[in-house]
Amino acid sequence: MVGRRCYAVVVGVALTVLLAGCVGPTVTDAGYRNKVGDTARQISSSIASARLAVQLDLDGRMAFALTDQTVSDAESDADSAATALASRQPPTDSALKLYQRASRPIQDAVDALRALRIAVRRGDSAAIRAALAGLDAPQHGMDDLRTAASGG
Amino acid sequence: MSRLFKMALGVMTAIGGFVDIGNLVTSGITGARFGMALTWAIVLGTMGMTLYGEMAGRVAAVARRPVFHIVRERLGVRTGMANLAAFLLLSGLMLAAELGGVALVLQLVTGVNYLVWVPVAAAVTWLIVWRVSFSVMENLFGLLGLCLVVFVVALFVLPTDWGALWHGATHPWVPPDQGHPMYFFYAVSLFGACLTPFQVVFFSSGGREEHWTTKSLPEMRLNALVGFPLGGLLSIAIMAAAVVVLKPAGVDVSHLGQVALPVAQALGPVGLALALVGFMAAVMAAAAECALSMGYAVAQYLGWGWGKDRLPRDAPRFHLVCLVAVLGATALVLTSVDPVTVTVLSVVLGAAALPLTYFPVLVVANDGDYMGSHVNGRTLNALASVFLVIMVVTSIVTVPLLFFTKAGR
Repeated sequence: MVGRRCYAVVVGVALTVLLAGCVGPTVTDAGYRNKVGDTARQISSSIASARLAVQLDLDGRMAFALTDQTVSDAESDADSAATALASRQPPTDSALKLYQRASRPIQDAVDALRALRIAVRRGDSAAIRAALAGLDAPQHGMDDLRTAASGG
Repeated sequence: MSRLFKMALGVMTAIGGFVDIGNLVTSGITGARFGMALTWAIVLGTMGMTLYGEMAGRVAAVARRPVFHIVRERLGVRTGMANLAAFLLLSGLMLAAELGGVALVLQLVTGVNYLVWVPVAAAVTWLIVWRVSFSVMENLFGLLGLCLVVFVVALFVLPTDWGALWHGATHPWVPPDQGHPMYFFYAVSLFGACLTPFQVVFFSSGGREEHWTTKSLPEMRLNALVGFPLGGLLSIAIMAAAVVVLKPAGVDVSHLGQVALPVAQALGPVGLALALVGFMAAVMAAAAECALSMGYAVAQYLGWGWGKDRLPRDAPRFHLVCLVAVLGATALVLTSVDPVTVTVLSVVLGAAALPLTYFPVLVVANDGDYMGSHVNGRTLNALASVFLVIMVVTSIVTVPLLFFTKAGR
């Protein structure tokens, strides 16, 4: 009896963990807007993280391995967020329009982070500064996207 | 003088040993997302750990019974077995998180992918469990863990608005872009990170390893009543550093390396190196303690011989459980599951199981037959009961919060 209870508890916990990690479908316009807003927030955070690490590195306050790791993580996170959004089916025409509006700035942000990662690994200060400046436009793009997703 | 030194050493190791991967990750995440609005959860968790840690230590010293001995005696064989299964499951998750944490710190230092370091972290953890004496392990890692004080120093170097931090901590509010479920999910994660069950099992079993008696009570109390709260302050400092640097920059913490960025900004490479040493000591010690706790729990429940300082041939089953725990956790991390996600899940699910570990401690601390004149007083019982109610409420709301927030995403 107790063995069965233990088994049920273990299975319950495992299912909880698995289900909590699942991505549910987005079936409403509002749900899709929230998802786009979340994606913009995640990518915006990735840009901010990479920018902070690289700026500290340029100021001589970082270790190279940590800078490289932070920038690589930022690129990877932004790429994952972009892929996750692209994998969702826009449920309405207005959601589709929002996706079409979002896809270009999101891709630009991922590309800008990739350029920064390449520059950091090459150790080319001029290229790093240029790539850092290249994050400004994608950052603004993500801010605009968050405003658009929130209906502003 | 020697006694004074021993007491000071005990307090320092308690401070350094309080922080583990759960505290590092949850304090960083919540500081960057919620500001100081969740400080109360760390304060509450630290108070609970201090209260129940002192009780478990007193029971170990007076009744000479560690936690899982009590669990079996008080809950009975069957319920005790369910309790043991839950403890092993959650501590296994936590051990995976700690091993992943060690590997992540090595990645931050070397630039080599953390998966390469996981077997190394596991081997070193096992060697510490097997070969390093209890006092050396406790003192060495506890003292190195004090390097995390750089977060406190960083706060004084950074342009910290102390008034705003204090206001944020004393006037908690839910940021509108986060919502109540997310807020309380992370409150549970901070609470759970401070009250990790393996820590109280380790503290109590450690008392038996060090042959505590009633004469050891002042030293034990000093560790619990001074060391743990100061360890909680370190967690708050990590949160505050994230508030000062990461929140204004719009950085959401999702990687261990981001937690160290405020120190780099304040103190440069030297501070960063100290922070990484502190990270390594905290997670490595916690990994060894977690593996040992799993061995302690099984051996105490089944009545096997146990003890870190007993040779493997004298306590083979105890050492085997520790080894299997390390191997199982290593296999989990090697699936390439994100260690930070495992950390958040383990502290939150651990919070759901808190009453299982802490309730039997409260029962025995009230048993005059075991405790004699060292039985709990009324005030202590009232406080402990309030905390037990908080733990039960936490365990009820944890799973729904896990669903609503998609594990805090």
